[in-house]
Amino acid sequence: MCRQVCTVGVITNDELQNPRSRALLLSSIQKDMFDYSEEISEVIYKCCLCGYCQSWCKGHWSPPPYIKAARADIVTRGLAGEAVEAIASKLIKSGNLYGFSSDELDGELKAEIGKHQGILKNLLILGSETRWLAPGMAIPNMKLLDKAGTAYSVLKDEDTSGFELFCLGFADEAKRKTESLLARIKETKAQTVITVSPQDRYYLTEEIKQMGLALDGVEVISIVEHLAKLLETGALKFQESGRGLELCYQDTNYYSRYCGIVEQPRKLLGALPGAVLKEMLWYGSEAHSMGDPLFAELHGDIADKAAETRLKDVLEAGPVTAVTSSAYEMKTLKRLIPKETGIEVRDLSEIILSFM
Amino acid sequence: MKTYFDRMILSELEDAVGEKNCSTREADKYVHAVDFYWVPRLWVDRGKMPAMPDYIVYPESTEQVSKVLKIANYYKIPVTTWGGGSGSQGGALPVCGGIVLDTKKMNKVLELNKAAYTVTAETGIIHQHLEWEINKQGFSTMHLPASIGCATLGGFLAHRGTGVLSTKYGKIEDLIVNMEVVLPNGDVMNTLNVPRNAAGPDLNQIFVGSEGSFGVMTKATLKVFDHPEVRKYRAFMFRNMHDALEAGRKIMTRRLQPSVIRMYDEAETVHQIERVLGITKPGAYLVFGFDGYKEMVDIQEKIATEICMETAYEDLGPIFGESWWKNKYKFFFPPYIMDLPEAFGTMDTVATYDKVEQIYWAMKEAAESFEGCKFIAHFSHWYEWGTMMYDRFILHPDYVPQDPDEAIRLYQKIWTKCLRAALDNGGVLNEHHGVGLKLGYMMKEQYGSAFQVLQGIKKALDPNGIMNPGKLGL
Repeated sequence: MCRQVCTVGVITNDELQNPRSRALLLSSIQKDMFDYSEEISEVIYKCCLCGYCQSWCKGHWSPPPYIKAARADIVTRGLAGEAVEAIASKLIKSGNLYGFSSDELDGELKAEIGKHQGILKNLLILGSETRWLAPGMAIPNMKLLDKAGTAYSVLKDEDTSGFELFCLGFADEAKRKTESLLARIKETKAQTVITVSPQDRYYLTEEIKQMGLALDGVEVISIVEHLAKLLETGALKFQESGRGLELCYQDTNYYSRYCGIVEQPRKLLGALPGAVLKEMLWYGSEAHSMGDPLFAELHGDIADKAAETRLKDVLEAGPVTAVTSSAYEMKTLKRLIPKETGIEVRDLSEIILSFM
Repeated sequence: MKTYFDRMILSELEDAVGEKNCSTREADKYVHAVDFYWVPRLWVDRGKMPAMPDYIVYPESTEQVSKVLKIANYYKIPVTTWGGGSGSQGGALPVCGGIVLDTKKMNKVLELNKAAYTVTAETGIIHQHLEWEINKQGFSTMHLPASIGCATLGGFLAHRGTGVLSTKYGKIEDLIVNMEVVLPNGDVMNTLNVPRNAAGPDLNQIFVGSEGSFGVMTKATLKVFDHPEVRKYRAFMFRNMHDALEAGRKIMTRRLQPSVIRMYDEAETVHQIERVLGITKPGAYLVFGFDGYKEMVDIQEKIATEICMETAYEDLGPIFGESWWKNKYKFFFPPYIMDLPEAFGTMDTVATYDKVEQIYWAMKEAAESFEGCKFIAHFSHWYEWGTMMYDRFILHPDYVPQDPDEAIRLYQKIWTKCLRAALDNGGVLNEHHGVGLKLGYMMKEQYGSAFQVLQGIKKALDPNGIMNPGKLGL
């Protein structure tokens, strides 16, 4: 019971692209009926790891870890292919998916980061997605924390957490990047790490355990969870400014399916005076996936189609403002939304900030 | 490519459906060579390569299907139609090689007719997608089998599928209004607009259940229904299967129109009901459901309850009825469904009420004559004249030979003995899983001289025998 939801399978209608076929191929490799080949490698790298299959699996199977393990085997055998190798190389050298050097960081963001240095209780990890893909989203996140009275620092040269390398199957390289980040986190003496990228929240709390790594004594939470806590304690004060504003929240995989972060963004949006929260037909852990920045680099055409499916969901929800908490999703939805629909896409922190 | 001739045929197929919709890659062939039939799954589980197709095509339109069949018919290349690959009978396995025609790129919902209460769709659509699409507008096909998430509309039509609500809403052959079919020679035909007429034999019913042997169904119009105002379920415990069967028979023959009756024999009540629903009572569990307008449902439920309480030893009430509905698909998935390394077979027998119990005991005796083999059954699709028995043998892994040849030999022996027990006692093989590769060898025995009618249709429509060879016993 997952064929009907497999993000890539539904878009491509390709029999190879569903959890059944991937599992069949991998089990046959285990039985030495096949060896990894270029075509099998292609199949394994076409999965977007959205986890939709596992949330629908009646048998409680969890295919994404198998896919990642297979990718690690493929990398070991040198069969990952040019596109994958090129992305891995960019990540290793530049610390981000796009190959930007630290000199190329957005000036305004650089200045904002400059204001948040020193040893403080909280460390804000922007994540390469936010830092490089949508610096304009990083700034409202930072300003919102300032306004809410959260004292935090930001690393000047933030490298990848290792998440993308881990997903690509470059386990050793991922581990090195992660160890380096963990060491820097420890140097800051922060007690809490607040992540902006949904992938980093999952990776730093769950996936790194598979490499025997842990952030002992440091709590890792997403900015959405942090804001929800601030709301509970009364640290977020809102003003009337959005009467009649209809909002719907776009659940990103790594929050809703992997970390169970579903209620927190809704509590935040529901607390905005005058705003009306609507739901798409598919929401929470059942929300259609848009993939993630890594998948978009590998298979941009499929990622765009996944985003178009999600836009259809937004449109069906009515004339609403779609609210996201992922830089990649915000940028992609904004790029693909047809102008005539009048639908707006806004970042969660930015919209909350507009009420403060 | 094996030869230049293979390459030339591939070029023709690429011309018909486009290069991107054609594949000869090994991985593609392999995933189209294993479905949910136990035999190929055992085969690959033991590390052996299954029978593979030579070409995979993904047509995007009826016209492209027509072109593919014209090519195949000219060169006399086998064509096996593949939808979701979720069949349990091996009906979509390309055992003779040739072309696998994967329908999944023909998956559009074409029209929801709100006046006539019908929906028309391309047959490659995953049925759950069709259902979700019309659910948004307040309708349902009420065709809700456990395989809804992986099977296609065409797959259901091909093997006469059924869903959990079939007792009220019917099987797929009751839901079909009309269809478009590409014949083996590439001609495109449509059945008549409406399913009830006196314009000769019903062409819909020739193609429904034909398992891709008479052509490729490309579009279909199905009946749709409003969502009911209420759904109610109620469960009972009977001392034995006989009493429960009699209660079910009375509910049906008194025409109370339940949406569902499911009754589990004593063995399956322990094997499944206890594990899935947590009911640890002895005897046979029966659940019924009614849906529709509340006032009508209340009366139906009241009368059905009275019937059950004539012999049931306990009314488990709505809670254990609702919990069955909530968990209705759970029975068919791990860890509750049987799986390798067990050998198992769902025999899916249908018979009239006067014969069904006798068939049950005969099949149980046949299955349990094999060491390590047990027999369980539930009765899941009910009619005014009889019921369907979802009867299964389960061979303990310790008794399944490691050697795949030996394992299949034993497996076939169990099947044959059980099927003959059903036939000898007036049963019909099979109610809704289809025939496929699994039961093809029994078709002549079952039909007797009537089988020549099916053979004649096959010969007339597919004189070159290209469509799904090795299936249906044709």
